[in-house]
Amino acid sequence: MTAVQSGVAPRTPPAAGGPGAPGWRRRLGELRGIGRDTRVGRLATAAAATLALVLLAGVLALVATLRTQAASEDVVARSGPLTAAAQELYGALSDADASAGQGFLLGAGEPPSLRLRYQTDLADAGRALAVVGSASGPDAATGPVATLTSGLPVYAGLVETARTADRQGLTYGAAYLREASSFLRASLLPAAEQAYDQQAAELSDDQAIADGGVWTVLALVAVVAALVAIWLLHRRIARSTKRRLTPGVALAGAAMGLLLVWGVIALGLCAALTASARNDGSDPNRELVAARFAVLQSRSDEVLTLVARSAGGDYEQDYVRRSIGLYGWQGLLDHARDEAGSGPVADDASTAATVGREGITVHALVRTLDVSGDYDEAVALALSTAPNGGQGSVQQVEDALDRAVTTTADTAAADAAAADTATTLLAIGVVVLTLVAAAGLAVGVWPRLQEYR
Amino acid sequence: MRARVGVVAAVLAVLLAGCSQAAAPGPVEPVRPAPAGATVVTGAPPAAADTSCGDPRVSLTPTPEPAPGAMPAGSTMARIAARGALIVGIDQSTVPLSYRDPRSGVLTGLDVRFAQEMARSIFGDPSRVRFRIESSAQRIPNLLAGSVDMVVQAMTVTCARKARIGMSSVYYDAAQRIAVPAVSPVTSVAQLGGRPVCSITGTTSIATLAAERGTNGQPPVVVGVPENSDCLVMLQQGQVDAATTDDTILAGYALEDRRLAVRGEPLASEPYGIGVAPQNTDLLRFVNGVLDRTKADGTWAAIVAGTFGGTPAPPPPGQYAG
Repeated sequence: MTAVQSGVAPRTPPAAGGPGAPGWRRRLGELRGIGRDTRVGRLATAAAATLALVLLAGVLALVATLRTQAASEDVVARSGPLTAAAQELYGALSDADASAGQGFLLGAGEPPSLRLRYQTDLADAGRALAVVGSASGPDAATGPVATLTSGLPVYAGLVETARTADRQGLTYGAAYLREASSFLRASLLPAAEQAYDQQAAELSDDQAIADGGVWTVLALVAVVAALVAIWLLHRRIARSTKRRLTPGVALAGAAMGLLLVWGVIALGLCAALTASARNDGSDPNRELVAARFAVLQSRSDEVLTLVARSAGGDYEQDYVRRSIGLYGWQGLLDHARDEAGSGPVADDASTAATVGREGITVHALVRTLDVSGDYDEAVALALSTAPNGGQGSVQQVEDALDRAVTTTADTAAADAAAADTATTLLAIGVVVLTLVAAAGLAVGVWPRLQEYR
Repeated sequence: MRARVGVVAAVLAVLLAGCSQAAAPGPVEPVRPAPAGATVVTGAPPAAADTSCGDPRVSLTPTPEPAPGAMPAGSTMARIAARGALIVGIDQSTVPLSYRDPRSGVLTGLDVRFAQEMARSIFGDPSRVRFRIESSAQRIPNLLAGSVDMVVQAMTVTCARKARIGMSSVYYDAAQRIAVPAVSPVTSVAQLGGRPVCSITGTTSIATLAAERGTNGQPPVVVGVPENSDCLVMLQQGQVDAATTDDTILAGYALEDRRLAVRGEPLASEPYGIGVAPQNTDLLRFVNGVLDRTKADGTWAAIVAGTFGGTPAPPPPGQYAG
């Protein structure tokens, strides 16, 4: 021990603790001197730095894990389902518009299934609205949810007035239906779109966080730094004491190593799955849903032109505009197909585009019949459920899009759930492994420090 | 100490404000949708009476009506007869002028009946008419393009129109009036100063309305809508106090809703004529002949009575020159 004692260098007062400095500052200065100038001091400093790095790495890894976990959980439990609910709301309203118009056109010939479809749409919209509303907090009283809750019964009332008038043989029933439809399009659908956009933006944000980010990178760097520090510490001890293995420090290294591997795998999986949920799921889903909505609305346009008994006019212009947006070059369906890459979703998008483009010729025939005075034939063709009839061809487009929408939604949900599962135990793992590493450091270094006494 | 009390009070105030805001989200507005395209029209210029052609009611002198199926060779009527059907531009949503009967789906109304009379005179068969459904804006372009033989579509004879197409003598003398709820005390436009009144966008009626002043010196608040039936809906929903357009259309409102009444003195005269392409003067003279015959033989009275009910006023006399 004396040899070690002699190794203690004479106390040289460091700059911080000059002669005039208060007692604690002088003590600090002395400690710094010891840390810098003695072997034991340098070992203690290195050990402390390593411990600090390990703890920092643990904290950063914990923060990264918790953020990722919260975000991926949010995707699964909140923003994902809420986006789906907002989507359902918009879809149900658009579908109600189209089916109310068709039912009105058919009059006495309206099949119970079509009436049921309209009623189901209203119920669907109500339920989805409740889900979206309960999640929107204080905004529910003023935002789009308020517009929708106060407007939905008014819409339904107008549709029923239209039906009642038509049943009594009064021609102004059509005017009520047009008013209902215009109210839906000018007030309710934009509100539903706003609600959907809000939810979709939240989902995107959550996905961006679950995808990794600054915290994950920082945690990774810190863990690697801690590993390097542990290795350097172990080498220092090995050189100064001729021990090939310091079990505690080695244990700390193993714990940090395990943390690194586990973290990279879990967070990497989570990021990869989230990216897949977004790229193969929610991104093409968004395009497909937009296309689905446009199909429904152009269908409403076609039906309302007939309901209004107008020769073209606003509804026809809207139909043309939407059809170009849907089926035109680089239209919604082309976009959706490109987003989906290759596979069943892209195939469904292509099918929808092909059938939809053929449907435009059916629409042109309907218009020709209507304009030449063959109103009943025009209505019959527009409502025909045969594959080459108006309703039939629209139904094929809708079916193809529904398949693609369902596939992408399932992909998004399944990948998000898997991403969430990937990080399930990581938070506890981080805490335990960090504590193990810290304890290992303490147990490994403490006896070496004692040897210098 | 004072300061601390102040801080506590401020915190409490903020908390309480937060609470009360959540409890009472302000007054609730009722939801009252209006028909698509309904807008308040301001500053529509009043239509000046156009007399550049003299009296627009004066049409070409009719020729003696040939027997059905024996149209003069080379005439426009002979060409139509050879085709097998008369093509008539018409509307299908104006009760009671031309509309689809909601029960039978058959196109019917005043204009449809007159179009069928034209077919009867050419073919001896009123069903030999092919209707082409067009909007009001398409009436003249379709005639000029030759895609229809004639337009029977509540078309008021004006000098501006006669400068572009041929127009027949008057087959129905409509007038702009007002329709109000039957319980309303309003009997004229003068009582509607500052009140919302509905009319159809782009018509002469809406310009006439905008030029009116109430007894209180204010103009009515003019609400323009795209379709005839939209004004009926706004009346029924109590969104306007009155609606004004041709009394033929207002009569249709009253036919479908007995709680509405057509009232007041005519604001403007709207004489309806049948439009033909400008070069087909033989067809125009033929049409005038058929109209004169229907007015004389009781067909006119039967059509008008069948459309509006009651006993019709005497038909407008045909005025001719040239």
